[in-house]
Amino acid sequence: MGKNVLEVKDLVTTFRINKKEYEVLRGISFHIEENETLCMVGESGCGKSVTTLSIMDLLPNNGRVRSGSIKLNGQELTTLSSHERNTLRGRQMGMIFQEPMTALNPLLTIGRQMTEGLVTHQGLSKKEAYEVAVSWLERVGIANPEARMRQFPFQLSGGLRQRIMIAMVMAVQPALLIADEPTTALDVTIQKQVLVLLNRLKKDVKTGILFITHDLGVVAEIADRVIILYAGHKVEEGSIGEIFSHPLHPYTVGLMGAVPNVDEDEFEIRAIPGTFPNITEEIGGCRFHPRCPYATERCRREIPAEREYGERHYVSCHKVEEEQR
Amino acid sequence: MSDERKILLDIKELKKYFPVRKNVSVKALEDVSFSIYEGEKFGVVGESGCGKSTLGRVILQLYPQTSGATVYYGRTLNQMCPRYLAKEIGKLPEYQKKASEFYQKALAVDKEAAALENQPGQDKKRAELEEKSLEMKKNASRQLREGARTVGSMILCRDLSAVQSLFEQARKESAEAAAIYKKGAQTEAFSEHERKAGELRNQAWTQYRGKDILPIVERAADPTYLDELDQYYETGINLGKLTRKEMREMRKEMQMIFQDPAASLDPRQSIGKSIEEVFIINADYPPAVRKEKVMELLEKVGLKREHYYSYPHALSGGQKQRVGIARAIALDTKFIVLDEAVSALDVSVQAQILLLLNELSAEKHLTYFFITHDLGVVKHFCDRIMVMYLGNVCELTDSIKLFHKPLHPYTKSLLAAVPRLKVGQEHSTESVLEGDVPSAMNPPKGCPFHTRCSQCMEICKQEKPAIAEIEPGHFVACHLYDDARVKRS
Repeated sequence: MGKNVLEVKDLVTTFRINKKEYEVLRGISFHIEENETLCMVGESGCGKSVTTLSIMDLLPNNGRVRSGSIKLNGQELTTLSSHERNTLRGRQMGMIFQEPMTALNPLLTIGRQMTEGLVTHQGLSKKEAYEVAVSWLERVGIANPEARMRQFPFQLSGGLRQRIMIAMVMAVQPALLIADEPTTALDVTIQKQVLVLLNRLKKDVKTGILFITHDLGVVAEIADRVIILYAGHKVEEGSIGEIFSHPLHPYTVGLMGAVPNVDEDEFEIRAIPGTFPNITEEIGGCRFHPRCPYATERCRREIPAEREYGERHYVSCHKVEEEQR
Repeated sequence: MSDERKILLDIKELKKYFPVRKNVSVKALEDVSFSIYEGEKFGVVGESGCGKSTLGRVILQLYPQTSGATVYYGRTLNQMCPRYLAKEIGKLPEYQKKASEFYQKALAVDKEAAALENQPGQDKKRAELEEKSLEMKKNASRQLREGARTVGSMILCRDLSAVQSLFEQARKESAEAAAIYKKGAQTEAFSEHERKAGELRNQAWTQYRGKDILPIVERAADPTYLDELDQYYETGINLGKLTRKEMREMRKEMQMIFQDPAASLDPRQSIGKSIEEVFIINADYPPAVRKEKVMELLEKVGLKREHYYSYPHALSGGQKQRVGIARAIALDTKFIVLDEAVSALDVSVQAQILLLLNELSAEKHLTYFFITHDLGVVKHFCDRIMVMYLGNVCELTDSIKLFHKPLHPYTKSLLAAVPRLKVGQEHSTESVLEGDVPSAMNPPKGCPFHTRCSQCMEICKQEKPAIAEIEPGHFVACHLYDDARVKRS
């Protein structure tokens, strides 16, 4: 087991809507080791992005971390001032987003944007930064990097832009890379190129990667461990092998059944009934019970506790608990 | 197997160019030809910019097509009488005359070229003349083909006016039928007119086909040429030639569902009103009946009656998409273009919508044109799949076959790039397909895929491969299979 890069414990993040506070994250705990990719899976509204924003301290004005702890390389983040967090951002943790065009500045050349981080975070001179930037562009597989340095974002394709984002973030060699659906907007062939690149870089740079996605196929391509979120709760956590071969939580099982599998010829699409709850909706007990085919009286009443089944495989579900006992 | 099935839409050599500036255009579709069978779920996959969405919109004539034909067989010419038909019947002698003129010119040029033979130093000029003659001959057959759309091989008849008059009579009968159809009731009078129109056309066929043929072009006497021309005959309706008003009429049967359900609903109109609008525009029911119909539709697509009074913001993405579906099936829909209809939805909801679409197609015998980039969805939802690249069709075959035995190198690399729901293997660090899709403004010469193809040959850089049926029902456009094609034909 490697060193823990990130430790999140009982994280509760709330949003104020119409003068009322709603819990979006309801006590989430997980950790990421060095040289490891943790995939966070869930449907829109489950709290994936809010988790990343809480870690980065980029929550919108009406959101705040109410309790819990976030530790980066052993250092507690929640008690730091916003100025101190600012110095960590970019240097120790970097983030790449779904749509690289909105993350790149359209008015500045790639070269300006690539070197900026290196100059501010690593104290390099402009010339050194230029050389490091060029070598990183090469590393992420961009042909004639020197010509690209002079170009503007609009002159590049989506795949190239995402590669440049990755190069930009990785050039400062952060301890943690947060990738929020980085391949969702890309075509499959380009997506594959980016996933392959991330897999290669993870080995080279020893970064811990928190990878957010809703695509289980992508998870299988990139994850070492997986956590599954549902409506602000972590419902299941385990190694990729465990999650794919023995999913336990009914929601995980449902998700697996809902994805049309390319490798099977006979596949019956099975849907999870009902709709995803709104954050303003109050649901007692297990948050999944209105859509769960196995829901009992206990599920309506009690929030299930997290228990370990098998090696480092955690599930929060009454049904699993009773069956496995 | 495909022969017994009825074709609903026949797309022939469809082209769509978007002009950018003088002499520069985005070639969104290049000579796309395929057929869609009735009741089938037809999938189209490809990367962004391959022209799949443009194709869906051109079929519905939301974008006018640059050239080619989109023939719809959901209604026949016996039942409907589009305005272009009268014009086309009137133009028949003109087509015949023009074809003959072009051919005569070609013959004259041929003579000139023959005179230059064996004269030293004139080779270049002779080659030029030969090219000119070929161009003229092509023009001649183009004119004949245009005419054949209306009357098949009878465009070659000496007694063209007799053919014309029979077709004109048939047209009038179908105009009567169409007028009755428009009023909504398919009465006996309607079927009577429809039957008569069919009879008149058949009569023309038996009386004049292949008899007393004008020697317009050299192949006119060849019976196989007649068959060839007959293939251009359209019993369906050429959507590209309809007037706006007529196309509006057709849209009752041909609908579209969009990717973003939120963007296709008016935020200030209640769900009920949004759906009801369809009936207000296209049918004249009394308000109470209309409302009841909307309620029934809501239930049919898995919503509640109460949703009639809700506004779009109160609905989740999946529910909004259900409203989109309700609107699309409100009338007598036969054909629906679904442009990435489930791509914006979460997997659990996506599965619900796919199941609903499956149910509806079985119940109402709908035909889907399903545009997506998700290969997993397309494999399990569609019957046949067409793969597109840079405005061209690469491959078209049954879903399962495409995944088991992809032939085109692009299809192969596309399938290899799909993230698999399989674990145990090492995470791959080898890429499959390098580079990006070239610009459609300046597509590569030869095969559009040759710049990224791992099996690229010399011929691929020069010549664009034509689409051919390599195995029954399996169409591929690739030079790798040129041999297979020769063997078959």
